[in-house]
Amino acid sequence: MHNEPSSDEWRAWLRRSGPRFLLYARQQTRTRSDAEDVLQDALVESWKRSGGMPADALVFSTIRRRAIDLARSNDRRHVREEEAGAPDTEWFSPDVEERETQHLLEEAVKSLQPIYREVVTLKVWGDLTFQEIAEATGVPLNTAASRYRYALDGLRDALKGVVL
Amino acid sequence: MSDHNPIEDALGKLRPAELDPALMARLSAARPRRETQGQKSAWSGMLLRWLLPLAASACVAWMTFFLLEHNRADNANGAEPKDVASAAAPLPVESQDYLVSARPVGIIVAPNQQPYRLMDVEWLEYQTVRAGANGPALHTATTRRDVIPVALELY
Repeated sequence: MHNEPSSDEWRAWLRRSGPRFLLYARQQTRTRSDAEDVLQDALVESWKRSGGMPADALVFSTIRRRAIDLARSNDRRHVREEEAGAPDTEWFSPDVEERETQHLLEEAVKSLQPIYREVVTLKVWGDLTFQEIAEATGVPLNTAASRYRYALDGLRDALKGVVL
Repeated sequence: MSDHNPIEDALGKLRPAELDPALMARLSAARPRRETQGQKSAWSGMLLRWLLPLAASACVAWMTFFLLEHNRADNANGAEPKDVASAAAPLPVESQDYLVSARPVGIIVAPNQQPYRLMDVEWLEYQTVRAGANGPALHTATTRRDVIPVALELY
């Protein structure tokens, strides 16, 4: 049996960590609606499996697994939504003062190959260690670390000339 | 890795987009809950739903047994030995299983991470045997218990 979170506890957790989980879910799925479905399922499952507030690493790995399952089982709906041109909203909260720089950075992050972008997301916004990233993504620790370095190199090249 | 990598610093300034109100409301509503009273009632309802057939089956079996015993006593008093012999080797002519009860005993997680609920189920095997084409019918009722896995969807 799991510990039932109080309404306040649950909402506080959503406010605190929901944006990070949603960011990862959106990177793991093809549409925003799929990301929201996966996020909801993963949050509830993680809480139940851990018997209380789950570790972030468990939630990220659950999101990843749920997204893979969804992609395997629901290709027809994906195609339909993509054909309908479902708009993809911003991944990050806009900062009025540095809007242009943030936009360039966000585009650079989006342009990374998924395997590199995933590690950057889990490291920077997920606050996971490389060990946790390795476990969540099913790769060796050294691979996770080297992917992160490659990703930073890629971002540096993409943002050459941009004052950060 | 440098502690002052400008790319990392810039990335750190990006804040993931907040959950929009509609999604926040949806996720708030999805809060995990303990088994509700309604779910408990569902289990009770299921048991009650099976209790009646069980009682009826037991009643039929008891009456049949009583009548057969009565018939056998009558045969012992006046029937031919040949009939008694054939009644001693009855053949099954009909068999039906009834689910009597189903009780959850625990949850396991398979290697593929799929959770399964283990159910302790009890069956009533109701069998009719008959000695010869025109012999008396004998109804037997025996119970059987199994533990079966049921795939569990988590929401």
